[in-house]
Amino acid sequence: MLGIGNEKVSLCDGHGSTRRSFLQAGSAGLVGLSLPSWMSLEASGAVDQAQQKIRNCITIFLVGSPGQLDTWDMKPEAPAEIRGKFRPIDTNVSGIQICEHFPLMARMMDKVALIRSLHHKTGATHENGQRWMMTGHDFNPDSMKPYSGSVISRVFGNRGTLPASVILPYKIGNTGAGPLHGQTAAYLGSGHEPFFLGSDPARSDFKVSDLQPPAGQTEFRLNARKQLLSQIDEVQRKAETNPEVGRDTAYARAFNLLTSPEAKQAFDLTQETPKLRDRYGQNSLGQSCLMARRLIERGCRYVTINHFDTVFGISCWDMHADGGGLNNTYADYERLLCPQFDWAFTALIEDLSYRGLLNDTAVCVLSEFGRTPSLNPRGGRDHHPGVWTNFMAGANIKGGQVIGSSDKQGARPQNNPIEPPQILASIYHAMGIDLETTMMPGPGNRPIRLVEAEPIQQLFG
Amino acid sequence: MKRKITTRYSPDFFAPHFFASLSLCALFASSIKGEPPQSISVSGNIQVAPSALKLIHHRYEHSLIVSGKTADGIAVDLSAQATLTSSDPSIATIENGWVKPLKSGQTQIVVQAAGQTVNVPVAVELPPAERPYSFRHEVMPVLSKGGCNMGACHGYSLGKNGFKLSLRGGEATQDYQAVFGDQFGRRISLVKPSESLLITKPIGEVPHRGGIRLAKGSLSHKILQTWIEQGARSDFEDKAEVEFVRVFPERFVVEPGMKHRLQLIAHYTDGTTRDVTKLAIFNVNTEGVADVDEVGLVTARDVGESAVVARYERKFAAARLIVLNRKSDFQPSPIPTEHFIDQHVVAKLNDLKIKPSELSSDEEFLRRVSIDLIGLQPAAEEVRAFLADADPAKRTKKVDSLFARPEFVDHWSLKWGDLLQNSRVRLSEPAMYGFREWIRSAVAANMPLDEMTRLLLTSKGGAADNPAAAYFAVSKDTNDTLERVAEVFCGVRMLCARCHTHPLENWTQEDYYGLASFFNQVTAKNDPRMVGVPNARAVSLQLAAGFATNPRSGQAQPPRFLGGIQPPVSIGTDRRVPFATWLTAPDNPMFARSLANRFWSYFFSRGIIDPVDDLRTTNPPINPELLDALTKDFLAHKFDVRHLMRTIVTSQTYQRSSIANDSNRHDTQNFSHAIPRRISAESLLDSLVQATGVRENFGGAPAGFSAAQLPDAEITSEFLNLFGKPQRAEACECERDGDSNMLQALHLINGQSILRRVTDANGRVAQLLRQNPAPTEDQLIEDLYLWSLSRRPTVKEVEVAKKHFASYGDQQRTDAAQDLMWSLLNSRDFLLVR
Repeated sequence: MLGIGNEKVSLCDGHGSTRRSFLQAGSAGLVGLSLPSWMSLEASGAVDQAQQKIRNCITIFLVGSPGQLDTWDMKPEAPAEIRGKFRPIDTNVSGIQICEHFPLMARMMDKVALIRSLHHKTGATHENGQRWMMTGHDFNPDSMKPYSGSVISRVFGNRGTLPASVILPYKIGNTGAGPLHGQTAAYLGSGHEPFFLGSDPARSDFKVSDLQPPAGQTEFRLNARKQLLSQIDEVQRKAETNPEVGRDTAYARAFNLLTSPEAKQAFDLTQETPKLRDRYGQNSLGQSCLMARRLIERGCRYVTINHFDTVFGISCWDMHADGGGLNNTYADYERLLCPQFDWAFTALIEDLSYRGLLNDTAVCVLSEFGRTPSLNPRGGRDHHPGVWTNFMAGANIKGGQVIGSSDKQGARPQNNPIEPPQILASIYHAMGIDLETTMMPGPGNRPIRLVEAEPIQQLFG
Repeated sequence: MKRKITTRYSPDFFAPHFFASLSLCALFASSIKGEPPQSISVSGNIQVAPSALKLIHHRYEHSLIVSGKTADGIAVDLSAQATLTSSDPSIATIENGWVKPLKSGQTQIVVQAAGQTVNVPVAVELPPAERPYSFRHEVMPVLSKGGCNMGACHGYSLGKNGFKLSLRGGEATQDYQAVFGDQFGRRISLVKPSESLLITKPIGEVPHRGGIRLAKGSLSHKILQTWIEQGARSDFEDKAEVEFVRVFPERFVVEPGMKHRLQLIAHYTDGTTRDVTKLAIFNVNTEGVADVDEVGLVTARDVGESAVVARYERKFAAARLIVLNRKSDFQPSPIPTEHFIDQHVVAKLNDLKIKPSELSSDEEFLRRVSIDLIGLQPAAEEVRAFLADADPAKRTKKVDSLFARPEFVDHWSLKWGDLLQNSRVRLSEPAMYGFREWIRSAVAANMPLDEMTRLLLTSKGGAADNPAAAYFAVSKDTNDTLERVAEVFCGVRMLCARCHTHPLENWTQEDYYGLASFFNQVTAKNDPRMVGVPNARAVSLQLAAGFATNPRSGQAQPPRFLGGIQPPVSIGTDRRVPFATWLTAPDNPMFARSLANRFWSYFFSRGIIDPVDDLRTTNPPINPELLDALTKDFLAHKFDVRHLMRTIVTSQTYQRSSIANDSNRHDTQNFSHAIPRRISAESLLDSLVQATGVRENFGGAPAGFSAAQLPDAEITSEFLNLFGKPQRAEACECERDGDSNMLQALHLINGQSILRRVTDANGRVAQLLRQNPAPTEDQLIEDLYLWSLSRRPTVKEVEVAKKHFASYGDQQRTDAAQDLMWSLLNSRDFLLVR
């Protein structure tokens, strides 16, 4: 029996909080159930995780961070050294303009809510921004905070064979200032670590390493071992009536993942038509977005796509134009990054919509910070947490709107300043989670809110 | 999102017929399975609580609980069927079962039930005029009862919708300001009291996001309304505070379906008492065992055991409830006399009508005690030798030999390293290794825990002076220190009380900052002798430092022991010394008790109090007599932790089989049988290494280090992380993750940890097959079982294994042996200690 506290974490919205009212509520999800009681229900197996009705979330995380002035918050009236090289274009929502290099996105602006007043108050390292956006906190090595996907995994558990939370294609590696990228389960425990794909679905040799039989091991031996193990387990089980459910479920799920056609299919992009794969874009981001859709369809709840796993020595959003290892420039944006993003993002929205999944799936495009309003001497832009633009679509999010604004130079929030924890709160809200009533066990098992912020109401119309 | 507004309380809450319906329920106590009502006959005298009444307030009515017991100890609540008559109804009358004072004088209540009569003398001493309604004693309890000031509502640190109350009513002045002072004229309307938002919102007359919290016409409504009508006055001049609350009955046994009332009495600092049952908040700790309603009526549901916690203001009391089916054929087990643990465990099991399981086999015992004492399962030859030993005292002999094993020091030093959070994240590498050695020496020397604690808590200097001072260098600040000290050495979690009164215990910010004042002389500054060494700090004392400031009052808080005593401290002395002396004194209520409980938990699936680092009134021990006896024995042996371990593992209770019987199958709390636990990360890996003969290389540690010997969590492996090795960022036992999950299973099935080892060219399988003469198939199977699971295979298992070998054919004998070992190492008998 798990004990977190004995007094019910009662509810502010007047719901009853007994086991009965929860069970009667059925598809109403965990709303209305206090933390200690849901934990005990979960431990006793009374909560049917598969029945939890919450929506899903796909996050595209733009490692390195695009400049707001070059993408979704253009200032054509500003001086040349501020407004940069690109020009704005109209979108299908009158009054909203975005960069000319997102022509496809411009045609579906009615589905997207831009948030133009994001900012954070900590230092301008990539890691600070990653921690804010992944967890809703800044933190130190000795006070690690859990990744939002781990929170979802902890609070809602798995739905089917696949892990609740997957990050693809790779973990964020070196981005300059340390190992804390906010993509760990922290105090929620190893069971809620995100599942890292660890392989690029755009590559022809794509393989999910933990799911492939290790080199030299045949299917025959895997099956023989599985069979032998089940026989051995059976003998051991008979000796004892007391169930030890944790280990058994874990093994059942691991074997399912290894052997179930569902899991195999989830990771198999060859089942998609070449036409659709082309539509997403035959590159890491495009194929990862397609994979994300397949994973959500098959039961994952929370997928994050790390668009790049480093900022060094590659073409990425980190547009310092320093002439060395960080030499991304306008040319990279124009030639590679903007088109890749434009194709992948719009394909994902279209595809989800076509399959009727968009209403059940929030799609968020997030980054660490913005970029400096003034171009640097080499024509690049450096880190700028003072203001930037991210956006959300899908689920119950009202598209075709702009929330908050930046000042004339795109340097500071002008109206309705928004901070990263509000984004996390909005994601949870969009997923159907009532932050007033849904708690998680914090450090020392103290029941705490999922994030200390309120959702941005305007997002939800 | 659309919100459903529902009523928290039934509309007839406190309405006159409430107790009428209650009496029907109690009269026909019936099983929830819908069996016909049973008539339960009471044997012996009925009891009326309280046995005498003194009523001093016009509005403070008092309940009487009339109860009896059946011959076999089942509590029967007779309140509903009892007849209560006041012998002088002009002094006090009976209303809905409650005694209501009318005028000063003496009377008595004649209670008749089950054919018996009991007289309860009543003294009524009323003030000349009825007192005005009190903010502190009447309005605030209504706000608590309605849930208005809980964390999810207006007690949230930012308030809700502009209205902020102190969390669970911790601050009367602040709440009075919030209710009366803010937005004058809206929350309180002295002109039109019934239009005050304080009333219209919670009763639902105007939209309230928090829904309807109080029923219209209820006692709560009446209190708020009349208080405002009387001018909404404060009463801070009244200094009386609730000192403690007491619940009746404190302990009772009922059958499923039976109902029993609780009565909660508040005891005030001025010596008066008051029945606060109607204003209290009740909760059942273990869901499913019973329900409790808003006025303390408990309905037993399922067989089991739970505390029922009652809260009034910020004071708690817990009633211990046992729900069981009476079995006429139950024969109590004889109470063992040789070992006090068995005596108390079996006595409790008899109360529960539970039979303990049989003793475990020699193989089970050996593996369990080895893993629990030295963190390593026994090797094949050790199992053989133990099985061959005919000495009837061989189990005790084995325990003594395990104490002498080097792995004993590794295992318990690892445990202490976790608890004391030894890690280079906050310490320099020399300090971290020095602290590790200090801990290892203490464990090796079996240093008494009181001495070890005193040395730790009074340590100072750098890594070169006193390695134990690393304990303080680990802390982020004084708050961190006191929280770590309280959690590890008192088993108490103080974090909540840093910012507000503890929601589940009586701790306040005075307690928190009182502890801080013992430790706020400590500073950890860069060690000038170790320039350039990262994290190198030396602990020193600023003896002139003032006391910690309580942020609520802004005042300096003098040092205060947990429990309220503020000792005199001399200026300019190390205040940690009186704290350490108080903490480790034999009569300290927490130290020995929490440590005894903590060590108990390392040998069972739970503590006697669980979680072990969350001791509080609202989390009572499952077997108080057992914990008391264990604590007493630990004290009598002067904090000798090996003695404590020996006492535990030589008990029959520890040596029970994991195979349950019909009566104890559902018991997971009372130690009636062993409950399988997943082996910890380090023990699992070390056992895997020993079984396969293929070691693990940890980057950063000297070759050959076992997982238990690793100095901190900065040297680790994918395996250890996956299996929940703690980072040592917290002092909480909960940081160690003992769960089983899919990623672990995936790793064991498909990752390299097992596969690489069973196929290793010099591993166990290869070694066994290389023997000359080659082992027979039976020998091979037995050896693989002994190495993998520290036991011999059963007949059935030999059969399964032989079939397996046959299916591979002679050419693939190595493959078959590898795959058998792989399967054994993936089986539950390897992963669990049973």
